[in-house]
Parts: sequence; structure tokens; C-alpha cells
Amino acid sequence: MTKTILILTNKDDVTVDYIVMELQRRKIKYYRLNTEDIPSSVIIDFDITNNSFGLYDIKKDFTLDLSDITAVYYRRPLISDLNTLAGISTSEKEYLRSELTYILEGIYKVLRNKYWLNYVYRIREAENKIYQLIVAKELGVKLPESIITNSYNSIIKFIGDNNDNIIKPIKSGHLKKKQNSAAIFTSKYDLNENDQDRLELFPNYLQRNIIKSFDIRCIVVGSEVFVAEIHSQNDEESVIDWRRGKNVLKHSKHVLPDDIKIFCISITRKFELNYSAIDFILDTNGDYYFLEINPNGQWAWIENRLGYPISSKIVDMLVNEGE
Amino acid sequence: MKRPIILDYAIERTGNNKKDFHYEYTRDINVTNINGINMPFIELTEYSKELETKTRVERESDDEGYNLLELTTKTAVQREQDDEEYCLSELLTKTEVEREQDDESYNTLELYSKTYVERERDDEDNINFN
Repeated sequence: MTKTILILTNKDDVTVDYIVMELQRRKIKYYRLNTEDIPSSVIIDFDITNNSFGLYDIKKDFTLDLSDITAVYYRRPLISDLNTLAGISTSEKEYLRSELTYILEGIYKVLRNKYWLNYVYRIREAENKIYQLIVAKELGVKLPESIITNSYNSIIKFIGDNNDNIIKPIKSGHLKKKQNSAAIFTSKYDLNENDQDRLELFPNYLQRNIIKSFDIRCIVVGSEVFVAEIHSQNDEESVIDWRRGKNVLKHSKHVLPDDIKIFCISITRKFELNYSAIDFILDTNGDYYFLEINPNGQWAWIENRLGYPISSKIVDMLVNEGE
Repeated sequence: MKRPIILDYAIERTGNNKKDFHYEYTRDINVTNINGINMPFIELTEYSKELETKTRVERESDDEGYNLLELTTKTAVQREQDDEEYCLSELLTKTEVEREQDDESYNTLELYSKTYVERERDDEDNINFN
């Protein structure tokens, strides 16, 4: 059977461009489905009675039969904003977008038995950071001491035990506002005794501040792990959260000890993922501290910076439907 | 009015909304027009480096390559390097930063969550992704 790779993403996803160019270079059949083009330039053509699931791409004059797909690369699908539809209200538009969401989910279900990197529902399962910490702990890796609580007494005890701490978001650091959006980065937290009421208002995620040698990002693709040191400690802004620095941080290749490499592969498999991006701190004593696993995390800049063949390995996995 | 502590740490994103590439359907990739040629956006950094080297040697003080070099510098300053939006090296524009296609909030489920939160208790919302 001819291999046909389906890429689920949106047009602005430049990371997928790496994959597309690699697929083109190898002359492998693929279709990039920019899901925001449904229904304006990609026509849905499902006939449940006859078990036929087709997409017609108007711009390419091309029909895709979903049964021909052998593997799926799941990236960043978006739902159309439907701004081309005239004469509908905001609530009607949201209703229609919700309908599109379910159609897209139907596509996932039609393709459920194909090879995925990563399967969308496994991504969802793995995203919860509390669950990640629980699983990582079970697998025996070191974690920063962590609490999530709005119990003031628990916070006082934690800060008594760990006098240098950080505060971070539990799910997302992305804060939408009416005008400009905002970001919430991991930040140093010092207790202010006047804050009791505020600490009790909402659960707070606190961790002991681990003094870093540098940050580490591991890109796991199957059983291969590409590791980058991110030298975050030379720039004051990026000491606590390397993503915050405005300057370009030095990156270099890093070799993990066997037990940490095995952990990276194990936790990825534990979540039934074929790909993950895992963040660690290497502390000043040489100990590795797990921070989080991103089941759909970014990798292109690591390939760009350090020359790792990540896109090539991802394509290998899609073509071979595994390793 | 008292507010949760975590909100004290919100930093407003800055930058412009200009996108420095456009999607080319025939090639399935994003491109940037350089001197009349649509270059793959992901190859732009290397190209700009080459151009920078070349122009340092050849030019006096012309504008050649200015846009490319500015792009690299500007986006390096403006980018938000968090995992949610850290899309591609240092070439990110605010358009990417703003959109909902980050690591955490991949759109379908995010949209669903919103629906879930806002729902009334009818049958259609009882389907759960988990």
C-alpha cells in the first residue's frame, strides 16, 4: 500500500513546513490539511451509508479519501473563523464553529486506527501537569518539591521547609485580554504576610526554586532523544524561566545519563505518545529535575539551532508507522 | 478588590501583528518574498546570514538585506519564548504569539472546554473527551 501521510494543522504552522519539505524531498505522498480551510476551500464529503469519507480541496482540485491515509501528524488544527459567512450573528457563528469542531473530531475518529504522532486524545490525557508530576514521580525521577494549594497553613509550612520558591501557572501561562494578551511566566515567589487572603482565594502552584546550571529540553521521537542545553543563567531575565529572556540564549547539545534518557522514553510511552518535549533543570550539583512533558511541544528551533535531524526522524516514524 | 496572586505575574505581550510570511498553497509551505522570489520561510535565517555576510563585504551603506536583518532582530526582541508559542527559532511574530495554537490550548479541545464551561445541562454536552 502506498504510504500517504496526513498532516493536521493550520497554514501559519511553520514547524510543519520542515516536515512538508522533508516529505517532498523523499517524494512521499502527503496531504497538508489546514483545518481552518474547512469548509471554505476544503469540502467535507462523508457518506456514512456507503462508508465513504472524502475531502475535496478546491484550490488543488484534489480529492482525499481518508481510507488511503496510513499515518497522521497532529500539530495545530484550527477551526475556521467563518468570517467569510455574511449575515450571521456572533452566537450563530460560534454555534457553527462548534459544529465544525465536531466534524473535525469525526475525522479523528475515522482515522483512529491509523498511526498517529501523536494521537489527539493521548495528547489531551498527557497535558495535565498535575498528572505529569504524579507519573514522573512514580517513574522515580527527581522533582522540585511542589504544592498546589489555597490552604494558607500548607503554604506557610511549605515555605518554612523551602525558603526559596517559585510560583507558576497550573495549566497555561497564556492570558487573553480584550486588547493585548499577557503571559504568566514562572517567577520567584516571596511570601508577603499581607497576602493571606489572596493566597486563599485561589489554588497556588509553588515549587522549590532549584538553582540551575542550565535548562534542558529533550525531544523524544520514538526511542530517540535529542537533547539541548539552554544556557539561561547568564541573563538575569531568564534565570527562573528561560522563555522570558529577550536575548537569544546560547544552546548546545547535551548527552543525558542513561537513567534520565530511559525515563524520557518511559514517560513518553507511559502516556502512549510517540513524541514528546520534556523539560528538566540540571542543578548545580549535577542532578536532573523533571519539570514537565509537552505532548505536542515545539521542536523546530532545536533542530535549527543544533542541527539535530528531528524532522527527518518524525518523517521516518510516520512513513514506517513507528520504528 | 483582592485578586489571586498568580495574576500579579502577568506580563503584557508587546510587538506588532505583522506576519512576515504567507502561505503558498502550491508548495504547502510558508514563504517570504525576497527580491521577487518566494523563499521558504524556514530557510530565511540561513539566507539572511549569508546575505549579511555578503553585504558586509560588498555594500557601502545600501538597504540591501535590511528587511531580513531587521526581521531577525525585531523578532528576537519581540518573541515570547514560552513553550506554548515558541514556534520557530527566533522568527516568531506576534501573530503566532497571539493565536491559539500553542502547546497547551490546541484549539479543538479548547473550544470544547469553553462549550463545556458555558453549557446548560443538555445531552449534547455530556460527551467528554477524557
